[in-house]
Amino acid sequence: MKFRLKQIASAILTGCILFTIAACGGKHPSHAPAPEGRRVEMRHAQLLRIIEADDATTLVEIVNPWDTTKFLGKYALIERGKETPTSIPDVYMRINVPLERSVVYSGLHSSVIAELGGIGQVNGVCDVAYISDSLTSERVSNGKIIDCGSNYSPNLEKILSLKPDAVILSPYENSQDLDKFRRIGLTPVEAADYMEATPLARAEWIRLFGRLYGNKEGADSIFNQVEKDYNSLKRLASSSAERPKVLIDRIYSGVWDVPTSGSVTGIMIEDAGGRNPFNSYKDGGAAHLAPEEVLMKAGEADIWLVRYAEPKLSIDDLRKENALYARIRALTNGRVYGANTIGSGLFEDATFHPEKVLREMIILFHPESVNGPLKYYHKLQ
Amino acid sequence: MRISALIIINLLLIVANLYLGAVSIPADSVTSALFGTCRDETIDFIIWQSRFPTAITALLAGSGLAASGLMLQTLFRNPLAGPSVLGITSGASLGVALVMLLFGGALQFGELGIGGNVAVDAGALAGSLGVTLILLVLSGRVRNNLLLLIVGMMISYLASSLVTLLSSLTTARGLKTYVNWGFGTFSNVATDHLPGFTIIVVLCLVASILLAKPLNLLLLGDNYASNLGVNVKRVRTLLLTTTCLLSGIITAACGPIGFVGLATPHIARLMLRTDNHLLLMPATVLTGSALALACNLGSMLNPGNVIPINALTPIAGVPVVIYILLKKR
Repeated sequence: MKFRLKQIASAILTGCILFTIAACGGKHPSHAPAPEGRRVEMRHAQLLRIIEADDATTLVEIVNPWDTTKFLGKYALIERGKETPTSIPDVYMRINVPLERSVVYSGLHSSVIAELGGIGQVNGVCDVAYISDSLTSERVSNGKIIDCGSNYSPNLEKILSLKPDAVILSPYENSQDLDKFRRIGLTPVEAADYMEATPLARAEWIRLFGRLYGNKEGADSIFNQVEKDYNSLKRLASSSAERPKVLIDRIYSGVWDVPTSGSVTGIMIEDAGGRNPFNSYKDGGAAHLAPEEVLMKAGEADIWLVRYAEPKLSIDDLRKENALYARIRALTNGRVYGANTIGSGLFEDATFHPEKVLREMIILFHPESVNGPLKYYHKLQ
Repeated sequence: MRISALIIINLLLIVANLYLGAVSIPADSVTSALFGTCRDETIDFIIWQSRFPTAITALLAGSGLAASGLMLQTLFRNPLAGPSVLGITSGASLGVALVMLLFGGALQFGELGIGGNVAVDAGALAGSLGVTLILLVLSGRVRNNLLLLIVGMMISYLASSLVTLLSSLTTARGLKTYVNWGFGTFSNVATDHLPGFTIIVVLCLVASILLAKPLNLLLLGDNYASNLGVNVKRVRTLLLTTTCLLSGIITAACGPIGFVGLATPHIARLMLRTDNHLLLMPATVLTGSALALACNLGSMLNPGNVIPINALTPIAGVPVVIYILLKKR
């Protein structure tokens, strides 16, 4: 009896070990052998792969952020006018580049396309009211770019009527729209940049936009500069002996969302030579804390950065809003800085130009190291 | 006897809400803060400016929603009636959705109000008052309570469909703000606003207790109640006004808290085995406050993430309802 129990236990143990090995082995998407070609080295992005199959064909693979064993999409970008190589498997959706006509869902993406000089190839955008890029807004107001409605429920008939070569969108988990898109003949490109874990990984997605809009060299060179500037600013900040404690945002509906150590904001605070009081939370993204916990952990914050969406915000507004705010050291020390998220360009630049946001954070954290005018933040009065 | 037990449970829960929270504070520090002898200003602040107002808000909101639920269930002679079923909460939600979603979250903060934002509070109050006004006007024309209940439900569907429409038109930020509001919280009422909130809710609760006797007579049917000298129309107006004020102000301050209004009258009925509102009303009120206080305590149990109140009210309430049902069979 004893022997049988031992046998069962060892069988279970072996099973568990085999299962664990199998599970660990599946961290990367399993797939048929990738077509031959030169793999473009992605130095930061984990969800984007670019392979140059030949002079006229670039293969793009976008990893599913919610299940990294799968792909969200595989694309073969074929230079316009060139033959489609027969060796490329059918699973790679064919897109002729540079795109001549496209619909772009996110204002962040239309900004980067404009920067790459491709805004003339954009015919439709979503969430027009929240586009801050002046080139895009101008083309919307003179009718060259069509408003395709909300990001969440875009007007498909309008999109179809624009006959886009591709629709650039930010994917979300278990979205059913994409299958529908493919059925009606649209080509969705799922730009999952926002799911990347680090500021530079997000910024590296500009290299995909460069390849879609015919400015590969421009995009690569912009990214190289972004990376160089970001890293040298980070080095500069790390040389400062003092590391101020930094608090972000404020309470809403009884909850204070704070950046964890793995979040992009958390990483940027550290890279700018600050200390994130919520580093003990490691999950990535935000921790949703009770205000009393924030007060205990960050009441001594030296600097408080408040991103807000209302037309204006003052120290007096903060004091009136919640008595807790008056107990935060940064408020009593006069080191509260606000950034209006509508119009300041903070959110737009944070994705593809994190070096600009980092620079500004260093100006605020270490004015002795970097100086200059502020673009996004201003001292709250 | 059972009412005394409920009072004791409430007192224990208030104490637990003061001593336990998202951060662990030694019991002696909490005691010294409560008696004004605490030297640590942060602890003193947490107890008096955060835990105390939150506990009182939970107590009042739970009581108010429970009283509303009981009044509406008796008025409509329907065990499924409640502020959310009749469209009063949906009206408040629509008001808030209009404020938040149309401005894409731009108005998520702002001027001072009960819940920290005058626009949101105004939206919630206007929404619930609007629905109640429609119900009041219709209650003058529609004699049949069942029809009135159906009208309320239709208004609720209409408000929900408009919220869906607004949600589809808004931005991610606007939607997130609205979803956050929908989670419900008892910690939005600042100490400065607590007296005002307390006065309104307590006055409405007093009115609910005063309405207990006419509610008993309404149980016999409108005709019997009229014969016994009850002005049915006036009582109906008073009941609807009190319920609307309670649900409107509580929804404005705490978000749309579900389940409490619907379930607590049943828990009280099952516990007391009576339809006498003179006993049922205080028991319902005390059950509602106990449920809200327990949920507030539970929302702080997960370190690093506040659990939404609306995720907890059914978790805390359903086992109690099932337990009482099985025990009393």
